[in-house]
Amino acid sequence: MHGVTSIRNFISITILLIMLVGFASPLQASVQDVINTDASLQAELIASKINVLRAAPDGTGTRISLPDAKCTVKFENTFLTITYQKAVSSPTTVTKHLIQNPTVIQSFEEECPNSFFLKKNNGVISVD
Amino acid sequence: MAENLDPVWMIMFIVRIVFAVAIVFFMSILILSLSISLDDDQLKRFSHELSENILSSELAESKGIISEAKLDSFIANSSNLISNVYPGMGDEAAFMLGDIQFGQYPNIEPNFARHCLIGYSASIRELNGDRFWDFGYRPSGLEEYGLADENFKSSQESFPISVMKRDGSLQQAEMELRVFIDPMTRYSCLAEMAKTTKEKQELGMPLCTISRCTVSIRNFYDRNNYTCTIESPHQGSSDAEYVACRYLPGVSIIPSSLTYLKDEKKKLVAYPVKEGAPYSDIMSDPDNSMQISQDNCDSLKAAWIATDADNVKSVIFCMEPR
Repeated sequence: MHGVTSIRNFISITILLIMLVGFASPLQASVQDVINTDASLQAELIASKINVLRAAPDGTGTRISLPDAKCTVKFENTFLTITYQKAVSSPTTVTKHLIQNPTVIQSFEEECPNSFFLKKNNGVISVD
Repeated sequence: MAENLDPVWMIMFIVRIVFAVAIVFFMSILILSLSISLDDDQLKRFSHELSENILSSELAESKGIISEAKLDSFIANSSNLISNVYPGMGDEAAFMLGDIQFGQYPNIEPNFARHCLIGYSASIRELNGDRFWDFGYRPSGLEEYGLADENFKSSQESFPISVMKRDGSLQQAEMELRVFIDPMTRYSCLAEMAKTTKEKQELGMPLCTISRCTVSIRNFYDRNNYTCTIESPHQGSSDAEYVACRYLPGVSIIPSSLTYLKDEKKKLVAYPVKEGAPYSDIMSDPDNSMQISQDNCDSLKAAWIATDADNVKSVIFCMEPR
């Protein structure tokens, strides 16, 4: 009988592990999804990069990767606006302010998902 | 088969089943109740970004090295600017704008590093010397707003820097940045954005925790250099008790006193107003300042809101339902 009990325990633990592994993947995906679609967080992250770039010397550049989601990011001199298109509800728009200093940012707009390179030259930040 | 009929075995079997179901049920609850929220510690990160900007600004000799001569010059120029706009300042003005009599603490966030929404003050101190330089926004206490504590956010970070003395030697120093998001910084940002973008700007007001909350916004002593809140809507420009002021040059605020009740859901809206817009002075009848403010909003919204083609003369704040 001990053999049968061991087999039962083995099967139970196996099923439990399969359940855990099965849940882990969607959980990870949902966490990533929350990060990608959190307009405020994404805007903060992009604004942070630009804030640091504004303080950097001429010739400095940085690559900005926009999230894997349906969104639009618009840059203007002192703020950036990120708009997320939603399938079932109205779009979510978040505006974040950038640190203001003598560096100028050329206005431009990018669609997600996308990756682009920003460079600072002669006190002006533009897409390279 | 005999063991299947054993009552002890059957009871143990049932116990095992119940135990297994309970574990599955418990795990399901844990997994289904999982909710993900993100908090990115915005102010702390902002402090580091701001330090990058200050340490590479016009005050810096090279990255991370601040010039004593440039610091002195900046503080003196800022103090002169305040003195020229507000000559013969009283104690209250000195308290709000900085004790400039001694060339210290100007309440100015300079153009080389400022942020619309987040206010800051910087304090640079030599570690082995006795010199120090302070400048920037100073928030007020909490009690006058009747708002919950979470509406007043702040963070404080220190950064190691060097100060280059006039003789060219380097002195170890520390730069402490205190950054704030509070009602004053939100209001001033709203006014700045309304003037810059020529579009109305909205701010959802936090719930009022007392019976009635009042928001009184105006320039400091009728000059367009500071945006301030005052304690009582009934006070005139000469006897107003200013609560907090933030440096915002070139933005004229039409004085207003707005109110909302406990648990009311309201939003504060800043409208850009065209040149020549007529409005009533709320101090012409202090007891009715709130009604006059509301009347000003109604009349200006009807015909005097600036558009892209207009010059923005001033900004008016209105309280509207959310």
